[in-house]
Amino acid sequence: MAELDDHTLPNPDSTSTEFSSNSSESATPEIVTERDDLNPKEPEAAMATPELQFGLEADHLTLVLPTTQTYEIEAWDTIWANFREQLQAAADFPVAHVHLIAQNQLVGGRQLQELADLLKPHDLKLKRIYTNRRQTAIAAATAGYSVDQDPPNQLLADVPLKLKPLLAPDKEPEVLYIDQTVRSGVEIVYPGSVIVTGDVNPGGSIVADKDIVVWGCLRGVAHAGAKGDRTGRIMALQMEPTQLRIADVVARAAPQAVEQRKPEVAYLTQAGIRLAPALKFSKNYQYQADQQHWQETSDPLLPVIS
Amino acid sequence: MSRVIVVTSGKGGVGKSTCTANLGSALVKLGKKVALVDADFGLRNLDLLLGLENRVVYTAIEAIAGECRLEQALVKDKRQNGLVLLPAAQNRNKESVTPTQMKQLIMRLNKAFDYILVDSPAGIEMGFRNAIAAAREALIVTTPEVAAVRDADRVVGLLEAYGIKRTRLIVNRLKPEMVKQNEMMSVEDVLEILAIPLLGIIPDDKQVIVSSNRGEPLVLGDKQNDLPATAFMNIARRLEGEKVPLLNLMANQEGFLAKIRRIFAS
Repeated sequence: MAELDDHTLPNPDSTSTEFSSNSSESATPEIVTERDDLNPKEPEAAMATPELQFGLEADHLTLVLPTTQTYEIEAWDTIWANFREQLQAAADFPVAHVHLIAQNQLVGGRQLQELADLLKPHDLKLKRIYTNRRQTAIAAATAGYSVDQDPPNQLLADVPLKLKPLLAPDKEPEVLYIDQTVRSGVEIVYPGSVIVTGDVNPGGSIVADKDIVVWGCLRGVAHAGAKGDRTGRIMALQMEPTQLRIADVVARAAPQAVEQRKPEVAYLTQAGIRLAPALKFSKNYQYQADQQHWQETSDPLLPVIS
Repeated sequence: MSRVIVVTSGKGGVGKSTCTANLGSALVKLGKKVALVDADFGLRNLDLLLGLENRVVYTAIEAIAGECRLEQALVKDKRQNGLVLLPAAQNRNKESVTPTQMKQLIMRLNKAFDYILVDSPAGIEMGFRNAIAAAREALIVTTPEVAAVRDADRVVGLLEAYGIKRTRLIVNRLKPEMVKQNEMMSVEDVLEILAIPLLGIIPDDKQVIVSSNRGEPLVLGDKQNDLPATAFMNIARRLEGEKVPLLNLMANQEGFLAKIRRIFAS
């Protein structure tokens, strides 16, 4: 940690009054900027070569190709190379058949053969092709596979939601789920977010690169955004921490009467770590990337003073 | 098959040896055959508390080394038929024995006794690891103080990590009038952090100090019907599976006037 800012956290009530005065002037322009930010991201993602998504169903493996709006596959070599690595990295597959969801990509006979060759060493057989392009359907039928031709406007938007992606072993899941109380002396360090269903007892500590969620009473030390991520939040049903740390900022909690404890979120503001009631946080706070901290946005029902 | 139970705490001075000695005696009073093993090499106390200090000839060290037979090391308590003590060595320290040796030693006692209570030393180092080596159950002793509960929490975590899942709690030296005045943690406060099943509560009592100094377990003396002795008997009965309600510890704290006040207030 570079420098430690030692703050005593004020009571949540005083926090909200602090920020409503700041944000009312500049609220509207900021909100608009945030929404615009969402769209520019899409083309950027389209530039990189996407990987084949695949997921394990009960009796078959499903492969999903990206739609041509996302990426028009022209050179299949890199796709197959990536896929070969993913197949090798994953463990044995407990199924024998593969369904390919080609969406609206153009898949020819040669590509289907290359895919079949890739699957063979893993004892997997291509069985069924779902597509909405006529040429792909013909190619698949000629090659001897079952074909499902969907009408063109029915892109399979819901398929990725059903898939539980198989991740290569070196790619750790983004969230660590700890289904028990973290006792004193136990330190959990994780390059992702951490969820604890149970308490974190005093003397116990959680160090996560992203967020920390404690579905219980946080009495120990929690360090979110450990590698410097200032968006890190610490959420708990009852906040009674020994210390809270986000990125390189440290804070102690103000002693508070136990009866008033409600679920709270700790987040970084310009002035340090603050607490906000949990129900209020997700609706009213947004992260300002340029200023590198969270800020309360004004109540949308209040008229803007122009 | 014996029940091998380790009595541990993390923090020192909370009453592990006292509980081991008294609990062992209470179990014998219920008709069980009990072996008490002192695992605190170098700072042994169990023989003192039982009043068997001057009958110790061989210790666990000699039994492990094979310099004596195990039966020669076991000290039989003449007042309590069915209770034996395996003393620790006073002239060694906790590095003298390994967990494997302790486990083998205790396993040799296995079939002969209903209960083997192992008195653990304070701390979480080699002494602790030796004490838990053969245990399948654990009793955590704590006082209702923040530091003791913190250490107990660490020990519960360590026990879970070492695979001992049946852990239960004894809260020792509780002062009910201080709890009532919010000056001391209540048993609920302790359970809030430790979250393990409660086996019993022992009140703070002068009698415990007197009996320790005399080397006479509480359940043996003429104060057998007193509160702490009854508390230990209840714990022994709960270990045997009986459902015994918790004692009303406030009962003998109140003076006559306080009792009258309570009647008029309710």
